[in-house]
Amino acid sequence: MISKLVVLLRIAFANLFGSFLNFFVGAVLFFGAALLVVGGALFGTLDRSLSKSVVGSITGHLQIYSARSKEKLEVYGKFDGSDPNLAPMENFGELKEKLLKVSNVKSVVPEGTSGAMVGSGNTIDLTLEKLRSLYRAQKDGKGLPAADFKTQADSLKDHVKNMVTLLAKDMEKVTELGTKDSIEPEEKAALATTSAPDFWASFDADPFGHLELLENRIAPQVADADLLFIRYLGTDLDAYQETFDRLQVVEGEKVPKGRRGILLPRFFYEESMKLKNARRLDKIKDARAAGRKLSDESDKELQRFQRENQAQTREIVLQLDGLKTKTAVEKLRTLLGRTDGDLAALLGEFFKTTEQNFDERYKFFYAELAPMLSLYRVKVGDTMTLKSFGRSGSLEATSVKLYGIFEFNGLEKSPLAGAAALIDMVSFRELYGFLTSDKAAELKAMKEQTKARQIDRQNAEADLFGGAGDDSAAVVEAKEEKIAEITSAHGLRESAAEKQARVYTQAEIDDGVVMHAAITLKDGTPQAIAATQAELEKLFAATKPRPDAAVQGAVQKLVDEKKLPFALAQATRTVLEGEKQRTADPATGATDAQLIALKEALQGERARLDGKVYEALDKLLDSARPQVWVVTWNSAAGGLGQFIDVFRLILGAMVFGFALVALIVVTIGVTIATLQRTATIGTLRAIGAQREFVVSMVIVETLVLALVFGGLGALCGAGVVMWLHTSGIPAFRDELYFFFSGPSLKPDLDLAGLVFSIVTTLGVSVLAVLVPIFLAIRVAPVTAMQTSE
Amino acid sequence: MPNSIVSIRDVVKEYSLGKVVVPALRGVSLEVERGEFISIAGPSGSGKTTLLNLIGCVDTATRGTVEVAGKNTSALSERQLTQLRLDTLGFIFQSFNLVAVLTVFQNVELPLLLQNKLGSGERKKRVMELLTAVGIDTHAQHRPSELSGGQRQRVAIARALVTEPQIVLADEPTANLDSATGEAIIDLMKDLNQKKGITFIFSTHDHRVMKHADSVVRLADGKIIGKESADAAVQAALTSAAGRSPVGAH
Repeated sequence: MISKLVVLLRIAFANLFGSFLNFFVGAVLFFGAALLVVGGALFGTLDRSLSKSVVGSITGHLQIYSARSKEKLEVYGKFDGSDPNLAPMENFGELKEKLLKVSNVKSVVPEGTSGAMVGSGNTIDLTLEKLRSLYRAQKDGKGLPAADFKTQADSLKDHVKNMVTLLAKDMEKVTELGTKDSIEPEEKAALATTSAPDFWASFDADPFGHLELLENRIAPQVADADLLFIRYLGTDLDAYQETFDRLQVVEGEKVPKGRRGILLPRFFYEESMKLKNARRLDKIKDARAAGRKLSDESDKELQRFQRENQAQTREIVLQLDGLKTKTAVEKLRTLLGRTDGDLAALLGEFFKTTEQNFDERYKFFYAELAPMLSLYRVKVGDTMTLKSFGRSGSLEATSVKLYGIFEFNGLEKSPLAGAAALIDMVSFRELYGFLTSDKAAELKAMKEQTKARQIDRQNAEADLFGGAGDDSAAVVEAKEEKIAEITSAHGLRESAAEKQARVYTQAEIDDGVVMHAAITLKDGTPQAIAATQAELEKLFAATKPRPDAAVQGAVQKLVDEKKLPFALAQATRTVLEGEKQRTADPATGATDAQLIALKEALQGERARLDGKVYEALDKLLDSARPQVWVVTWNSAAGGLGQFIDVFRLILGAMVFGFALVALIVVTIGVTIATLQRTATIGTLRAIGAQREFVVSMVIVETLVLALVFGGLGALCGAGVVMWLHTSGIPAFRDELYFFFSGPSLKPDLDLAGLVFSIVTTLGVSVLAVLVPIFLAIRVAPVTAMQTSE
Repeated sequence: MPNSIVSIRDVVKEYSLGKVVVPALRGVSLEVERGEFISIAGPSGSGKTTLLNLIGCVDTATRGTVEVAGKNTSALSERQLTQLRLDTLGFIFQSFNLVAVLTVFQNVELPLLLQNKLGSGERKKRVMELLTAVGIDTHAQHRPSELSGGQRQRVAIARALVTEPQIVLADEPTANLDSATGEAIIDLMKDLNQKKGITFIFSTHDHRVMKHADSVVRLADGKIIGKESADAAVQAALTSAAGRSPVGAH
């Protein structure tokens, strides 16, 4: 046996470099194996990195949400940007207690995602407010000395005048563009009035009347800092900060324990709240640091930043009052060597940056101009008013203090990780329109104080305002203000300041509804996640209703009569099978994934299904589902989590593609090699080699070929992976930070991947020798007598 | 123990070419004694190679009996025939048929490895003895492509003899060699035949090779037309050649 193996190996190794064909086949195996190792390492690391980003920033290892939800949980929102329609989970405290008893569960963090509008007030609003305060203080005798008052008032008036002038210019442009019909006549008239010199000459005679006209007619026309949309994650901030320890507050502080407050993601803060010109300058600086050149005409992004900075200087012009404008103009003229030009023109020239002057201008901007500007719309320590449409469609609002700016370690530049602000659970519930303990107490007190009938919050509004027919934002806001007025007058409602000062107990944070919850595990390996998911499903199996034989029978009939579309029928069969098992043993039954699949299939087919069929299947789901679904992080991540599936699919396709190409090439190569060696095989047979020897010869030769070239390819791939691990693949786009879980992807060499690539190469080669073997064993010994060397 | 090492009786071999049946041997009977140095002669297409194939167990007769070393080949399985070839027969091919990727030593060692009866040391000893006997020991580590035709045929002879077979079959062993080398090869085969008592059966149509044989079996049109002494056979061959060519025999 050994001696035969010696011959076989001898022939195999001797043939290895014996023909061009072997080199060709070997090259395919070499590159295939290298590709598998590199691809496997890349996608494996991407898989782990993405899961690290998702698990470590929002989802935890598992998520739970109400099984009554109309849609699947997607923590990053749906494809269209909206939030999935989830049913709230009541009594989170009890749920949390139950979950924490499971041995592998480390923490449970309540969560709920939604979006709100943030109103920071536009520049003219803010300036008019300053002007009003100045005149009011003067009127009340608490103002400044006359000279100081005049200087400040004139500066502020000049600032407003500037803004009005700019608006008037805009109006002219709009008229030129032929869209004058879209302008309200009242707006036009107000602009004409306020930009006339008479208006400003008579300002001091009736400052509050003039201010009213400006506030009511002019301010709404300035859209420089209108409402900003912000996504937020309502959570128990203490638990969140403890659980997701990649979170770092980089400016300000963490929200103190039990307090209401908001933390903004740095990415959002920089991208959306920073003065646009400053942000663009930062981006140009980063781009230059990365080797990009302002002089590069083909760099469309840098060219766009340049253009926008030169054209869009209004935000700065509007911010500066008369005094500051004067100062800025002087500084800019000195820098640019100019003796004339207004602020807008000077800024336009200032932002014409080049490779030569950029560093100087960047420094000048931050040293000379920025101190006069509000670089961010909201500053740490400010109170932000969030307005959101609650679950019932009513406009809800709450004010929260901005405690700090955060980022996730390694995900600093990721738009995804920096997409959602973090807000305390109590504020979230208020914004979402849930009856919080505060509101419940408030309504109870209102009822007692006003001796009203039995009312709830919505009825209270109807009672107070005579019906709830008009739900427009303005009306709702007015109602809110009225309620606040009444309740404050009666000492029933906490003021915003009182709310911010209040420290909520853990019970107050926990007791209430949440939309979903993140569960982090002590052991977060894929196997442990699956095992814990199964354990939790069993835990909640007790919350399932009793199996309903009648419902099962009705659905079985539909399946038997083939009344369901194929996919739906498959999903239904699986659930039916599970329900039948559960009838016999309550510990068994369909898994959450199977039930969710049926729910999804049912929703997908709803429009095509007969009403009764839909009802029967819905009843089956109703009788089979537990209180909550337990889903893995990648399922909870929705579309983003599907990237993992895409990675795996690509990897699978790569393996399949390589296997197919290798199979074809090796089959052809070895077949040709076998045909070319018919004489040798015939000779071997003639001199006494049995058929199995010939078969072994073909197999051993191919395996040696695969092992040598595939092994070399795998080693070479490993070398590439190790090099990539050392150098790292930089996240060349901000979006990639999240996928890479950091500024670069450092693929890890996976021993299993290495072995897998070699085994795949060998496996494919073994399959590929079937045809050559068939040919080889048909070579008769007599061939030796008929062939020439 | 009968003295015949090969016994062929009324053997017919036919090949089918589509619907046409082509007879290659038409009722051939032949006895070969142990230790004989016998030549099968005849013109091309006379059936020499077919007869050798049957004796060499690489082909089977359509009808009739072929007994090699006392075994009826038609009664043996494919596997048994292969084993019979390995243990009893040695082959020398017209085109040498050496394994190109192996060295001279490895080519000669190959049948021993297939037999798997000897240890490494014994194998080496026997291979080297044979290489020395055929005068090619200095080229043991060469590849066949580095050898001349005569040297290759010597390697082929060593390979055929290495398992100490009872019969060595040689199909036109000098056909690809020049006349001097051919003579030398036949001398070598004759020498081994005499020293080791191995039966040699070789086909040839070359009268210069034929003359070394103990006896010559002459074939024509698939039939044995005589078994005679080498001299008689050479004479007959020369006469036949002269009849075909006005220039005379060569």
